[in-house]
Amino acid sequence: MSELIRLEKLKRLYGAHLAFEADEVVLQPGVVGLLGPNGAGKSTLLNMLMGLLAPSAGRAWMLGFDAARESRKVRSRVGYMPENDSFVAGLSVLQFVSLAGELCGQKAVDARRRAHEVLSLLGLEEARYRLIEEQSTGIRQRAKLAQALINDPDLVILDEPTNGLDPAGRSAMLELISRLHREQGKSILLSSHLLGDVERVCDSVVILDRGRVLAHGAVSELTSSSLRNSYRIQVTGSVEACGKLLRARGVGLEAIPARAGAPPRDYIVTLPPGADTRLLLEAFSAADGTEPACLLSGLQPHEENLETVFERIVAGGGGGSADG
Amino acid sequence: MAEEPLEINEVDLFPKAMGATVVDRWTLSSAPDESRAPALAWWPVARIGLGLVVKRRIFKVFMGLGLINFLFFSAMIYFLAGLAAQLKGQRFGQGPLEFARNFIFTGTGESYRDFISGQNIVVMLLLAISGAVLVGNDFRFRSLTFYFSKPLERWQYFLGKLVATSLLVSMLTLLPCLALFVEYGLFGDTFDYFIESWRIFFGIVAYGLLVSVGMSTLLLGVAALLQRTISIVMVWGLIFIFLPIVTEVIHEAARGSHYWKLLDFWSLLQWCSNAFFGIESSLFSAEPWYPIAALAAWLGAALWAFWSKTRAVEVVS
Amino acid sequence: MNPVSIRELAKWYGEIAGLNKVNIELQTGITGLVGPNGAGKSTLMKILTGQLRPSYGEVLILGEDVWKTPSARRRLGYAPEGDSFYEDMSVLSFVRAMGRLCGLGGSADAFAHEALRQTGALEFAGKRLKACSKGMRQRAKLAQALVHKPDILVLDEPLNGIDAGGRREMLRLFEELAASGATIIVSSHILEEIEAVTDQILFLAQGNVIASGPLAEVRGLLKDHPLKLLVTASDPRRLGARLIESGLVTGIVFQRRRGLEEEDLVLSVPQVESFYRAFPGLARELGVVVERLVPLDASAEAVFGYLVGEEMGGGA
Repeated sequence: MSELIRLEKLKRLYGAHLAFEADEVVLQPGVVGLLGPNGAGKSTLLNMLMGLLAPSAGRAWMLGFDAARESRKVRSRVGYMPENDSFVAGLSVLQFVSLAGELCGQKAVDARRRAHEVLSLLGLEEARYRLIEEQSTGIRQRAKLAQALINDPDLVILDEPTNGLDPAGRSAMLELISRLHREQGKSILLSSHLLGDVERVCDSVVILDRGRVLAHGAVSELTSSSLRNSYRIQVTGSVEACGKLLRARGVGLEAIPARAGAPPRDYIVTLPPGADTRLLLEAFSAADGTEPACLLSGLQPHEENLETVFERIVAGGGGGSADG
Repeated sequence: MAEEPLEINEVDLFPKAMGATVVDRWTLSSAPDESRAPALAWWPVARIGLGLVVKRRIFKVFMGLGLINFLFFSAMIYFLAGLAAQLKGQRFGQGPLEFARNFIFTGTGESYRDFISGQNIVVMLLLAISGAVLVGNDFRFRSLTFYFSKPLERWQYFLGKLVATSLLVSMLTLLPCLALFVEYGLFGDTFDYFIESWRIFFGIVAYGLLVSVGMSTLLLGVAALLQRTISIVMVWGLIFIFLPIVTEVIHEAARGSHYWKLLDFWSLLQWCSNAFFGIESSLFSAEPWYPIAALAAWLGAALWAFWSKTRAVEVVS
Repeated sequence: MNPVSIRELAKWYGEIAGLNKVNIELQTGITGLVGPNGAGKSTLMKILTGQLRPSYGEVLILGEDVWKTPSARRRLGYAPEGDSFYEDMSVLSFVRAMGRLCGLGGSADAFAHEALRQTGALEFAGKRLKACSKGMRQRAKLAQALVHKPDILVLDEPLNGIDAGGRREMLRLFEELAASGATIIVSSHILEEIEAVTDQILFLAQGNVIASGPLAEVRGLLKDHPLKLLVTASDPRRLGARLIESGLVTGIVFQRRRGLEEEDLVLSVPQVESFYRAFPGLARELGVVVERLVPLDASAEAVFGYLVGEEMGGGA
């Protein structure tokens, strides 16, 4: 499979309101994150990709198929896990997932065998025989994922998959998503408000705001503005003492503002040109044994994380969004 | 005594591996065979829908009520046959027998029409429940997003629901009626009845199908439009109880024009049945296009309602 | 007197204990409430806001028992988890009505506008709630909690449905409110956010408070789980050997980073302060260049994992 998704002059209008517009975007197979404030056009884009909404202009290709004209082929190769609960009331988890398989063209027997297999993979054991609407959020989310995987799709679209899950569940879901890519070779399109989720599992991201694609590319590229001689450190003990030791060696120290009223936790140090972190180690080992104590408790290259990149891009692209 | 070094036969020490395996739980087999023809994707929709309605307790109540009528007719046929056999050759009872035949069950189209028409209340109740379960729930639980994210076309979704409801109604109308037809014919001495009454057979099938499919279509439209159980039941009652009474009052008592009867869906169906069975009826005899157009309008409106409401995407402007 | 004081609280449903032996003293500032689903967080919040009666113990808001004296709730703002409103009301009417219920008279309108401004909901104030997206409804919910400028805010999953930018705005809002003297208790599953804004965290599981306090201190108390530190250095094997000799670590794992050849060190460190004191000198002796020194399991998420893992007897 060469390209995962391709958008060509894709546009969707509601009357005069521009819901989505993209000139040319090509996404390669992998785990892609879809980010953007509410109202940015994420749902519009997803609906157009699934062939549920016709574009006003332009075309979109999913796995090489035209999303609007060959929508059926797209839907038989793509799994979709919606954000809201979307079930058939009165069915058990197993019956629901089997139905999904049958709707994809599998015979009843095959669908049921496959449903059992997928449910085992996702760890739903006795729960599979119970009515879906009565289950906890964690089980319902996994049931939703199971029905998306039933037809062994090449691409799985996940809309807020960790919604409502407790931290353990969230971690498990993200791990599951990673493994789907690593071990099953599936591509994933993950739409989420939680940048932490995206940072954890996605290789590349698409950032939307107000209906436009502001940026897309590999996460590592977007966040790679690590300034060579800049590091982020955490310090325990007396910050003034640290400051003195560092400044004496030509190292700049700058606090990162923390929450209102709380002391800063992180600091940025800028090394003089030509120096490396050994200068820091020297400074802190000189502090060893002296009072007041000043200890280095954390060190990492100062990189932009996805959150700051996202903010910067959205702010630069015309400001945040009106609705939450 | 010098000991000879032990000869160790390596083959004995390390017997060939038995081939142990640990199954990796994390493998998914490749895609299963997609062998069902895409055009048949509606069948699972129908089957699941049918199952959901049949599971309900109230379904059994309605079926029971519907069968009472059937059993009554069936018993009457049996009684008449028995009576005829008893009175065979006797001069005496022929009069009362003729009377009974004409009054209870004539074996002509009218009787069968009356049977199906007699099921109207139960059919109406059954459909109200089916509407809520099959369509209302789909809206309430957002099932449409699920259905349309699979390779399923909208017409297939409609067909699936239609087949499910039509089958349910057929179980109360068409199928028992055919059973009565067969029963009546079997009680005759010869198979002449079946050969002579081909028109009746056609009438039964046509009327049965019209009732099943027509009322199902109307129901699907109403259910898609209203979506909530109580609303569906109320409007359904309006169409099948309130409107008939009101139009009857206007037509008979107030001497209003007979065109008012076009608002009574059930009597439209009955008019069609008369046409199918070849029964003379006074209403609209000269202008058959009116009831046909009215029926088409009802069903068209229902189809339109269903079509426009079953969009998976709720557009929030 | 603490703004919120919970003593020996218990709530049972028949035989089943929803909460037991809960003792909490809340100060001004932000307290996080974390726990698995079913741990009793929502129950606790409902009791705190006077909606459920405690089976045992007492809950005092500014010195008054919140169940017995409904007027104690006047200083309380609550944003529940669920999503039920008067759908036909506009956002503004709804918040204003809630304000009036809290005792605001003619000033309800002004207060409502202010609350909507704070939560970024002013732009859609005239919109009907049923036409609002999830994020908008969430902001409306927060606005009604703030409208009467309460001293105590109880927020159950307040950021659910709000987008990335909006979440930060709301977190900043909470920080501001706390800085101006409010006592806020926030329940959330998104632990990295909780960690960033809260002064102390309450860990709840199976109806009990299993840990409370500032995160770093709670972490320090988990003696069974020595801190795992990730070190990226230029000569990991030599550094590792030296660290083993020094006795500062009880275990080392060499870990290859995603797709790269270089190895990182994952150290198990029982005495964290001694390690920090000695490490720079040690590394300097060897002349290695250290690029990274980060704790792997000091986050709220990791601490939570250890606590809950222990709670369930070591098996999740």
